[in-house]
Amino acid sequence: MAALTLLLKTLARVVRRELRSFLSVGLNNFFLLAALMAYSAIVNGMAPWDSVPFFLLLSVLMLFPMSSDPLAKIPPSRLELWPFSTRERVALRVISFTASPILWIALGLLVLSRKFALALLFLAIALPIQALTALASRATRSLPSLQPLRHIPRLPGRTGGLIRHNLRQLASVLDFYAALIMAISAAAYRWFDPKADPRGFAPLAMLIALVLSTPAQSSFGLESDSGLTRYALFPLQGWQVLLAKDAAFLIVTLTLILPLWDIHAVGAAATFTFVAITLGRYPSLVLQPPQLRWRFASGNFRFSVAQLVLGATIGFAQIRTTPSLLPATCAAWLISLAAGARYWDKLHRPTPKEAETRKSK
Amino acid sequence: MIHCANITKRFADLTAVNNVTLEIPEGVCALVGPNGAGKSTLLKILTTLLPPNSGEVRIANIDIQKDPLAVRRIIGVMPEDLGLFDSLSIAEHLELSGPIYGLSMAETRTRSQQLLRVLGLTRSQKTFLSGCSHGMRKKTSLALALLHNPRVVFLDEPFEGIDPTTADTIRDLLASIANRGVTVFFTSHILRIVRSLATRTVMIRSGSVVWDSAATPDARPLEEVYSAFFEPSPTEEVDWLRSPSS
Repeated sequence: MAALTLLLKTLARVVRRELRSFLSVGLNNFFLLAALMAYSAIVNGMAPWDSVPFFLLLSVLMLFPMSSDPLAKIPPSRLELWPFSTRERVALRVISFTASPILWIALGLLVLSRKFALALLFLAIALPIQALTALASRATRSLPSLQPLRHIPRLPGRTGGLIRHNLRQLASVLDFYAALIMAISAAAYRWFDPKADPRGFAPLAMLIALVLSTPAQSSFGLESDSGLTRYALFPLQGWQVLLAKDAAFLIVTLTLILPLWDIHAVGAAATFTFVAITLGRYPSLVLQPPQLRWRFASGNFRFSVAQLVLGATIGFAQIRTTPSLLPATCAAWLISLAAGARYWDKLHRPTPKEAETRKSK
Repeated sequence: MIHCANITKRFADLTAVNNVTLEIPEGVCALVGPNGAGKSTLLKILTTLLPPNSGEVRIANIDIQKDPLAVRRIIGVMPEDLGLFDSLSIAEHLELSGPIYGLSMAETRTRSQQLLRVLGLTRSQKTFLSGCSHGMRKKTSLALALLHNPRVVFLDEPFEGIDPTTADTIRDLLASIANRGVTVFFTSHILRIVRSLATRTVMIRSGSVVWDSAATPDARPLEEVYSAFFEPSPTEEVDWLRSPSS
């Protein structure tokens, strides 16, 4: 029994640590926008209802990775090898559910709101998600061809394989799924609402680009040390490596905007994305914020605010008054690409002068 | 083919590679030494991954510090951490790498299939890295090192963690490319393979070359030479392991 208790304590510690990784959402552009909306509503004496759908979307998406089986945190082979009796194993299975974050969140809701119905509603949403996650995980394990990321095709060109790799990385952060849901909703509004206002398409496109913008600050955050070694070994210039990253980003954004079928929407989203990538260059190369799979991307607060404010300001100005801002943001992006490439090359290829200095030292 | 003169690499107070000078022509050269001797650090320097504090390295007469990109085009590397991407399958790694080295997609596919067959990876070619065993990952990294038919191949412990049959296949493959004029430089702890494959053996200890078969030929078996240079492992008894299980 002592061993079981110790194991459960360890499990709880692992789950607690994992829960902390979800706090990355606090520095996510989409979260910051929702928080800003809620704050401005409260300051103006209104209920923050407008931001509720955004918070709901963020929460529901986070429930998917949160819903994994706590016992799965122990490597299966290790669990099998530990000398536990069948009774102890059954006990472990049952008690392990107490380490589930879902249960603790439901309890937290119950205590804070004192509303049993709210906790029950949360469980009614969370439990099917948990079941769905378990089923999907089992299905993709036994039938790998069911993994959607596997079907992202290789793009043509010398770095087409790298772009595919980058697309898969983008699709393994929750920001992508939030943007996807927004894009589907926007397309449904565009095509099925008879009162759809075409003037709303461009702001909607900007919103989708904004939801997707935080990963621009951590474009190398998902690369393993092993992957970074391979990057260093490839005979590629810095600009080729960075362009493969940016191309993946632009492809995803434009693919999500395309169903709106509106040239102004494409222009607005492209403007916002160019601003987001340009501003994200420094943190992604120099600050390198950590990034985990199946979490919301986390940025640097100052750069996140800059992405939000500048992206939105320039985006709206581009839509309303100055269409030439799109080529201007494209030029800024090219300059950031050149500067980033220079930094990359310096990191991975010391110039002859630096080599000489190093030699003389 | 590989020329390095007075290479030194320091990490704070630790000198990982100490004034190493080597002249390696075509053929197979093995770098042998205990853990922490500086083998992987030297390999990283030779493959442009780590700049030395001092010294000069030339691969096929190209200075690696002046033109690392040109060096990367002509070398194939299996680094210590294998250099693989988690989000790609075995076959996709090869499809990614070929065009980067200037191969057409058709040529990449033909070569990939041949390499996958030789290395026994055909059946698992669609497996993502997360589902691969250590041996499969190692073979994938080896395939990446060979795909573009490089002039110099650097391999960090290619035979460790590989099944004996595949180890023999890899050994034969490396011997055959060396016969065509490719330089193969590898590190290993398996002296049996080093003896049967390498035309030259270099032993390294605390970052310094202590024995080079080209400079001081020794008729003794490699194991004996190795024992002569490196301290035997500690012989302390672990008492509780000798008592009955508890």
